Amino acid sequence: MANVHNWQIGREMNYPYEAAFPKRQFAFVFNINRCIACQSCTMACKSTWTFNKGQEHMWWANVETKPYGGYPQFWDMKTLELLEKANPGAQNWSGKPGADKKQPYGKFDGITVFEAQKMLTPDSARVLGYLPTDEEWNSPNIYEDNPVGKKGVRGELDKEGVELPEHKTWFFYLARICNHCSYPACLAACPRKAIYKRPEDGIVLIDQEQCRGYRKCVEACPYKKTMYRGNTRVSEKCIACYPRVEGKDPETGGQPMETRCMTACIGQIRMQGLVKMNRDGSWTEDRYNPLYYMIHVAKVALPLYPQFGTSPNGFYIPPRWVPRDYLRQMFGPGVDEAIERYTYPDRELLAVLQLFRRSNRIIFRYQIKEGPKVYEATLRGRKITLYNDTVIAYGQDGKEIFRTTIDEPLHVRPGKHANSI
Amino acid sequence: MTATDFIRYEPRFVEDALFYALRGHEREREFQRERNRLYAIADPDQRDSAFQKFDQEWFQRLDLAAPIDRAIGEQPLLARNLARCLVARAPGKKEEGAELFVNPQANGIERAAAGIFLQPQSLLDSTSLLALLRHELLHLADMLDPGFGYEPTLPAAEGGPTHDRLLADRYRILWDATIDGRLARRGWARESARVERLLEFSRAFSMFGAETEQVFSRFFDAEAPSHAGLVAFAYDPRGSLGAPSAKPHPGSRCALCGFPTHDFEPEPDRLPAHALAELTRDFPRWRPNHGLCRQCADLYRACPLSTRAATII
Repeated sequence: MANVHNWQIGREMNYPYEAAFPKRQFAFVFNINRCIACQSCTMACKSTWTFNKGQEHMWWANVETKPYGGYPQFWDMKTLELLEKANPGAQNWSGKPGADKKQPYGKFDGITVFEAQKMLTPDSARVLGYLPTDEEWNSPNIYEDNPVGKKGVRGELDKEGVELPEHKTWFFYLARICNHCSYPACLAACPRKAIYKRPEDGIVLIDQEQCRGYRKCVEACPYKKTMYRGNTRVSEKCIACYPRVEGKDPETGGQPMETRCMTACIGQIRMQGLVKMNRDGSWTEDRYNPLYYMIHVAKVALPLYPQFGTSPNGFYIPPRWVPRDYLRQMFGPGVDEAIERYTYPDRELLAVLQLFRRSNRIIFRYQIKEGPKVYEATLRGRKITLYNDTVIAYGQDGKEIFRTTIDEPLHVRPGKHANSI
Repeated sequence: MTATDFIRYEPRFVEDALFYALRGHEREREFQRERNRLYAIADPDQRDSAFQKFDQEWFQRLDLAAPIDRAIGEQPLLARNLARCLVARAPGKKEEGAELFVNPQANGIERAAAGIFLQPQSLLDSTSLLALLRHELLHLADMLDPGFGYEPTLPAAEGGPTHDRLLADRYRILWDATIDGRLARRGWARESARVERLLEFSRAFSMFGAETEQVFSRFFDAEAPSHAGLVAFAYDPRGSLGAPSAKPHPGSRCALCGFPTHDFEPEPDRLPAHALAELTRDFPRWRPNHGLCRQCADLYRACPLSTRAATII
């Protein structure tokens, strides 16, 4: 086992291989507050990559209703339970979120999926995990829209508590794809070294020629984003639409393009990017890259279950209405500050949030041009001021992709066309 | 007919069973080494066939089918009366069991086949698997036994779909009791089988009160139950025992709506004449001694009121 630094848990940890990082890393931010579970992303992925025989149960991209839903069912709860069993009562964080880039969320003192040796069976296993049953894979959208009810009472909704900061009756949609982790558990577990991380963009792929269907990757991935295909007898996973990321799609004329699931998102919850990496696995400071800004400057977007230890490159703006203890378990200790900043966004964050889904091309840099004050009010006891700033997005080639304003253009339909489509 | 001809395994079931059985097994490496060679076959169909053949060989080599062979061998009626038995994957634990499939177009032995549905990992616990199969296959044997006289559908209940479900539930409980009783006498059932089945029986037939265990024994200790006997009891528990149908027992189901109730109408024979007429029109076989719950009684008492309201509307 090698010793590697995982900035998301703020400490060194065990990993079966020496750390090696790509020049650029595929990463994304999903704003849960905007997701309506329309499943456009799910179907965009399905109709592109997993529509063949033997892939019927495969949903590389999915949207599940939390807390009860899951694909496969109970994926997160089961891994959390395994870790808790391996290290009872000690899966805790210490310290506080702060400016230290090596420990932005504090330090996780528990064990990761790579550090639970005594729980591993057989002895040759490298990662703590489990194999979901067929039944658990069978219902990708199980418990859709099922909310948490009144505490301690079955079958009853809490009729009060529907106001922020926390709803008492709640659910939220969690959109998921492979996190193309910096320390992938699937890669660590593969006995044939059939899984690799591309040095140019950090996308994690399974070599279909090398895979022999041992399903160790399925067992190891705590997010359960590798899947076994029965008829070819090899495992498959999200490929991050790499031909698009490489700029092979004619639409973008050779420029990097976002994945199918990102571009299909009508809720405008998704933004994907390629971020620069330092040799130690931290992100190179790139102040005006929108992902860098949201994750490392504004800190509104947080990794999904950082305590698993895989250093996922999928980040989420947590839902404002959900009880904080649940969110802290899911996104770590940075939740309170992230929600605070998202609820009362500053001028820059508001502008960056406008960049979501205005183009299919990957944004590498943004610039803000200040505009006039357009609105002033009090929100939950705080004074807020809106400026109609313009935010400009630039591509990899440094050329402008688009520009948009805070005050969105409004088109009033003529009376004679009212109610028509 | 050899056992191989008679029992057929779904290839995916065999493959998954091997996968679970060989994890951490001393022969896992040997299995993988041999299996890995098959990936070199370029043609997808040929490769698929090679995998299936390879899996079948290892399935036999590890004797994973032993509990299935044994349970089927214990029921000679199956091999005599069925064309084949297919063992396939069950999507979940609850779906594990056996089914009889009949092709009405075919004749003789070709008409029927059995399906056994299991989770592949269930093969790892041969004791529990054998217990499950013995129970399930005795059901199938009963269905094939002319002495049992099985009919695939139960007669429709007078009271409609609610009663159909009630009767099907009762029938299932009675049949399960006779199955486990026979298994217990052969030393094949869990020690707790009698207590568990009695509990289930007492919930479904709460009208027997203190007599419950005695009545239950007629089924659990019966060596040659019949479909007709079980159906008759399910329809009219007291009547089929030759006992006059007494007042319904608190907690038993209303003869009309089928819901359990502790609040029966105290004197159903003294309901207003119009209510009795309306009620017997809807439920011709109902008699006052069958009883009815207060809600149903109120409904029929209110009939004239509802009719008047309907005409106004």
